[in-house]
Amino acid sequence: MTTRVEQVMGLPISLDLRDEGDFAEVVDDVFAWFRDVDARFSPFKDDSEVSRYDRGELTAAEISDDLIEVLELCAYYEQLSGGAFRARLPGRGLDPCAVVKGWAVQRAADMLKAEGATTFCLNAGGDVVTAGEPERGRPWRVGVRHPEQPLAVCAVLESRNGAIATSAAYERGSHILDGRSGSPATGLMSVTVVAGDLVTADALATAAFAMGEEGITWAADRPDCEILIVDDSRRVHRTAGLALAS
Amino acid sequence: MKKTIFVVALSIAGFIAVWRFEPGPVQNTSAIAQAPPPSISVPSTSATPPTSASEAPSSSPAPSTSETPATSETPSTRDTANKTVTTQGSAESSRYGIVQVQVTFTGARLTAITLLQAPDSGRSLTALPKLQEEAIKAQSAEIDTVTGATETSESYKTSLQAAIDAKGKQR
Repeated sequence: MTTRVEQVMGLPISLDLRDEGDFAEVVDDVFAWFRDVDARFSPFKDDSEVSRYDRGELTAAEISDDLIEVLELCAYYEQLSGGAFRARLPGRGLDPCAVVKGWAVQRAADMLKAEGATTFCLNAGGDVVTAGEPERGRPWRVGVRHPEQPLAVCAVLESRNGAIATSAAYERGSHILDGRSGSPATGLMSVTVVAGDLVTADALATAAFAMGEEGITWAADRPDCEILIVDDSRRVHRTAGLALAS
Repeated sequence: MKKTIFVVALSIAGFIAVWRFEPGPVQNTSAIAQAPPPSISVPSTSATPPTSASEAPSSSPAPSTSETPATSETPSTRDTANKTVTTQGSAESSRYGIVQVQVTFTGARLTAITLLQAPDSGRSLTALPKLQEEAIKAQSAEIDTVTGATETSESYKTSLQAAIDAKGKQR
């Protein structure tokens, strides 16, 4: 059993690994990976690969395969969301953060699995990947933060091998912009998406949140995911397949 | 006997409402489904309910087995030929999600069906009106982690996840 919490990429990252055995090495590798991602993909660091590419110091032929993958994911979700999700807003630099986070955390989960870990919960700033069952016959129980009360949850979801991401505007408002208008997204308080992997869950949650009210049906119409959305009128919208803890 | 007719009428109404419902774009809590007034009429005098209701598959006089059971009757006036009666069915889950209908009769004729609750999309999205109600139900469950938008290290310090992490370290 290993539990570890570190602040990386400006996020608290918590790992709760329940497997017996020595996983110290891969756990070190996982947190080293997050620091590496931060150094390479942060748009807030002048010498990151993202910043250098954005300034034209690196050509498309010179960037890493990882950055190519991230940029392709950004392009895909931009198209899927009709431009609500956008990595490059007019007048602003390239900011692939919304995709990088889910992508990096899913990659870390895959690293753990590749080393034989079967039972863990990895949480990066509220985006969660789970594997296995913490107790025999019981799935991981993932509370969904209440959008208006920091210490309360508004739902509890069950998850075995899957991913859950939430995009939200809490007290201080959202920093998510609607890529179509460039203005802060409005209409929804919180969007939680459950999917098989965190790349999908995180990108869909961000895109749906950016879209506002129309994001509710948009997200519900995506295959292979379940959603729980709280709108500005405090209504809760959820898909029937959502695994609520009883 | 009048009661029986009424129940059968409601069964038809309930069935039709569910049957006619096509999951479409987002609907909020009250969308009006228009009933074609002339085509559905209920025999007002004779008491042979089941045979006349060919569209209602299992229309039994007993309210408990029909599609819209537990109706709360709120007749406004004593029966005159064209009195208007509005009745709400209980919320029923269908394969599309929760459906609740309100039916209005003018005399013996069904004049309106209102969907009080309807699924929101083809993926049967349930729109529940109250966040608070959901939240109260959720508080009692034990949790292993929290999903939410933790934007800064500062907000983490006072978060539920920080409390869970602290607990995990003691294990």
